[in-house]
Amino acid sequence: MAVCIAVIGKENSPKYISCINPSMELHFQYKVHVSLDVVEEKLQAVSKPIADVTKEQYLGLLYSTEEHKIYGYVTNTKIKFIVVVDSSNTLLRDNEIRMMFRRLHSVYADIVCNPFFIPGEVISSKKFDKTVKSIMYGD
Amino acid sequence: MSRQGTRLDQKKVNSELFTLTYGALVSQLMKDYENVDEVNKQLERMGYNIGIRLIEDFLARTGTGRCYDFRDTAEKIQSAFRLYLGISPQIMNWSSSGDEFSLQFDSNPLTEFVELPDHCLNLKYCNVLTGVLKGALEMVQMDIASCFVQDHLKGDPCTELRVKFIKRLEDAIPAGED
Amino acid sequence: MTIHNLYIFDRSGILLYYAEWNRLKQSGITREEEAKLMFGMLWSIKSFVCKISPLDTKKGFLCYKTNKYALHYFETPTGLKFILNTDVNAQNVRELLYQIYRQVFVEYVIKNPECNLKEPIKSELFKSQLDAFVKQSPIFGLKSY
Repeated sequence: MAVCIAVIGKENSPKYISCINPSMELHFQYKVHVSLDVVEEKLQAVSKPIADVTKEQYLGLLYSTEEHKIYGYVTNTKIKFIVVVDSSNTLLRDNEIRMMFRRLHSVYADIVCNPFFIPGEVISSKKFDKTVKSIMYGD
Repeated sequence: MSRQGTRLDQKKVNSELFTLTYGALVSQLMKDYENVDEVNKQLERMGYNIGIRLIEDFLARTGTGRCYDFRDTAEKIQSAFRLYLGISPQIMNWSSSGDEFSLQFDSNPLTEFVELPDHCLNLKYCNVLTGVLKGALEMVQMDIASCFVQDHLKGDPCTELRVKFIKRLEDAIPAGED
Repeated sequence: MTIHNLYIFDRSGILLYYAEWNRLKQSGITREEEAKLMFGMLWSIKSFVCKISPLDTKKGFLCYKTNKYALHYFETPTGLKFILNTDVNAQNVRELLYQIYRQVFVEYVIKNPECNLKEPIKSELFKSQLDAFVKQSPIFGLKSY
């Protein structure tokens, strides 16, 4: 389903990145990085006028290129999830993307609850990795 | 007549809060001692102190009397797990002499979110339980030993706690009596 | 009906707590000595009762009665001993002892991490709770006589 999933920390530092094709990782890191600017922009836009109506954590499509579409999601603790999908994949609806983010958020909450995990550190949990892979492959 | 069993208020605690509290305790111990074996020992000691008090609550609450044999004890331990942790471990693998058995846990609220980091693979995360059993049974004149033989956190299919009966402790004779 | 006094011993014979309500005559010896005698007497009675029993006893010794007072004995499987002296007419004292254990001792001593279980109880909360609990019991009676 997705080709790359990344988790970005509060201060925009990368915490986790995983992609279907490991050799492309650097390439995706650039893409994710670029998309962060859009995230910031969107966050500022929503925080001002109708703050209480838009409690929405899903940011929607950040931008798209010929090859990829990039979606974003931000938790109330300012952790950002970025999902990159193939542009050719037209079967993916908005709903499915939302679903992916929701699963991502819940597995993220689980690993934060691990007493040995230090918040703010790079995520090295195998359980998280496994679940993210399964989300990426779409099952 | 005095009322019976109505004053026990059903206090409930959120299970995540409990799990996180225990997790914070263990990880703080790891930070303080920086030594897995020492942490295991501390957990057991804490458990012991819990056990010697918990047994009184268990007896007062359930009104149970003395056990007839070790099988009886095993069942009471199982019911205590249900009462205090809301889980029913299976009793299995009795030794032929009947003085040793296993408690097998399918789920364990203590370990719900836990993933052991590589540097503490020897950590017995739930070692507090062995201490609780030891303390509680010692108060009812039973000396036992217990240890984890399988641990879900270390990749085993389930968590298994082996309990071994050692001896009966006799009541102390008061000083100056014969 | 009335309640005279209460002793709580731990398993090794330490007097954890003593309280009295309508005790009109003192034994004339120090409290320590009295406790020691009490514990020794109970210990002997208990082992004697077990020895003499024609059947296998489970609960063992429960109480004795004189023409002036009755002594009631309750022991938990952990070896805590509760002794309550009442007048001879008191009924269901065993139940009361169990309730004292369950609703006062466990709640205010065992669950209080400040209380060391091997030392006499100093908790004021326990004292007042126990006092109130005993006084509200029908066995305590309204007037002593």
